[in-house]
Amino acid sequence: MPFSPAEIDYLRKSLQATPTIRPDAREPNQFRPVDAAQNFLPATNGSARIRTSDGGECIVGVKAKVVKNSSVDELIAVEVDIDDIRDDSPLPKLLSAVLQTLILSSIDTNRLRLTRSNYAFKLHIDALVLSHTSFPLNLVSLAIFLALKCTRLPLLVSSANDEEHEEVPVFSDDWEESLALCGGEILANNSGSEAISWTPPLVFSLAVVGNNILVDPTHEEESVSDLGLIMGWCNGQVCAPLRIIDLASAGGNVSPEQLSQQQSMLEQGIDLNMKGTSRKLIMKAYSLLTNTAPEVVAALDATADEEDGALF
Amino acid sequence: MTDRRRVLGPADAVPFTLDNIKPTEVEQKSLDIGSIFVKTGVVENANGSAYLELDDIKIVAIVHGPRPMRGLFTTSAILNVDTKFLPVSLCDIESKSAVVSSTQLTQYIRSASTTQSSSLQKNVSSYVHTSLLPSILVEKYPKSTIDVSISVLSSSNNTKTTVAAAVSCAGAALADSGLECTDIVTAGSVLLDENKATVSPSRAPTSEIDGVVSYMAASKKIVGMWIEGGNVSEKQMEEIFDKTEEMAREIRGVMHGVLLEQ
Repeated sequence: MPFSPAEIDYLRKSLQATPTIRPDAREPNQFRPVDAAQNFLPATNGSARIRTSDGGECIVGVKAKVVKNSSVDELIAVEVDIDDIRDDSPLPKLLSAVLQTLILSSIDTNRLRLTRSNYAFKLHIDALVLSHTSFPLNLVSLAIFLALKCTRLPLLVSSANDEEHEEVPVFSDDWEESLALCGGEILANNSGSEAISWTPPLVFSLAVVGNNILVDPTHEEESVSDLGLIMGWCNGQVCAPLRIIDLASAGGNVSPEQLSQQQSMLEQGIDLNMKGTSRKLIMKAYSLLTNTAPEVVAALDATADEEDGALF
Repeated sequence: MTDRRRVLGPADAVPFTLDNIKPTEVEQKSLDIGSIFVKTGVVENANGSAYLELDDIKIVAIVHGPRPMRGLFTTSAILNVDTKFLPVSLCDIESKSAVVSSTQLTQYIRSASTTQSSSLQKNVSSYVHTSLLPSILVEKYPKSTIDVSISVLSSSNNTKTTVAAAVSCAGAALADSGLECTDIVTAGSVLLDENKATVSPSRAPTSEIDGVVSYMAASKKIVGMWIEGGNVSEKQMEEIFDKTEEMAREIRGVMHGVLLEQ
């Protein structure tokens, strides 16, 4: 939806102010309220749905498949599908690539190993964005986090040692005995190492407006932003991928009217074009994320605990 | 500049041949960005063009524009970036020398070009687009498009170094085109080991952090960033910025020399 010059000017000025004034009166590091549900798809190993207050909705299903002789890199496959957007357009490609590399770099693949040399689980993480108004990365990331949190894998009952003779994995029929992917037990079973639980990674998109950094930007905030930052969070630390993107055109999906509208802003001296950022601002975003992300993780963990046991 | 509507092939084109390929392993010094060669104005029928060599990397960037745009009215120019990795540039050197017959080579090239390159090309194009856009005064060119096409003739094993070279080369081509710009964009790449940082790395990362950052060196602005590979501490962030800025400055220095000569 294109904005009028007056709206753009108002948004830009109030967001640039110190302290920043967001249209919905949020703090710069405050997320919009989300509505989450887990384990609602019986045919998957784990699933989640997230809805935001602006009508954005995303569902994620995680399915595990036994694969033979695959390389470690192939054990996670993330596929993001966005309603109304072609599969091969830049936005879903970008989201899939960002999330896949992030999850691969944070997971200990021993969690997915079944036998020592041949078999492993491959996780297919499929996200479907049903509707979105702002850049959908936050939405998809939160939903994937919750889906991974409640993902359970069946218990292996055959031997894990297939170094000497071939062993085809056989699983326990009892779903009560299944192991949580994020729990410590599964890692201890598979690799004999210590039982360490895993917190799935998150990735945030932040908008830079003037000298202010805003988390979870809405569509209005994005359209007046200088640029967007993508930052990952795993194991209590900021992590790659760290990227600068152009949020104002949200992955190259601007409609022609929107574009010409924005251009007419420029004519009137309202500067919309992104003009780069400074190192100081990126470091500011870094410390903002360091303070905010643990709270987000804690909030999501609480949701996951509440929902636990809701399976089937 | 006569014909702004069509892209004609260069009049002095020669076929590209592959010979004398030998795999080489050279220990890289941490502060050495490698040898650079930049030449602008290499393509006659384009508005601006540049050729850049950075060790094994060879890149040509061509700028066409401002070109009139049909059908759509805009009050400022639209930038399009198209990156092409030539199929041969994608096979790594060892496997290239292992391939014996020419049919095998063709097959190899075909498979390499379809599987790896399409998403890489899209990623690189969008990165270069984000990096270049802030430097161009697009408001000065209403109703037009600016098309930048980048051909990677030979790439290094490290994608980030190749991307850094592509950004710098496109920056030089823009400067050569005479389009109104606020600054020239150059980029630097870095690979962080546990204890040392390699500027302009030539090997692919295994699990280390590697990244490319684009700068407008004169106005001290960061215009693009792409970092991958695990957790990044605050100190490492600072180090990435320090090293990439150093490399971007060095390339900028070379570019100044080249542009002043003309």
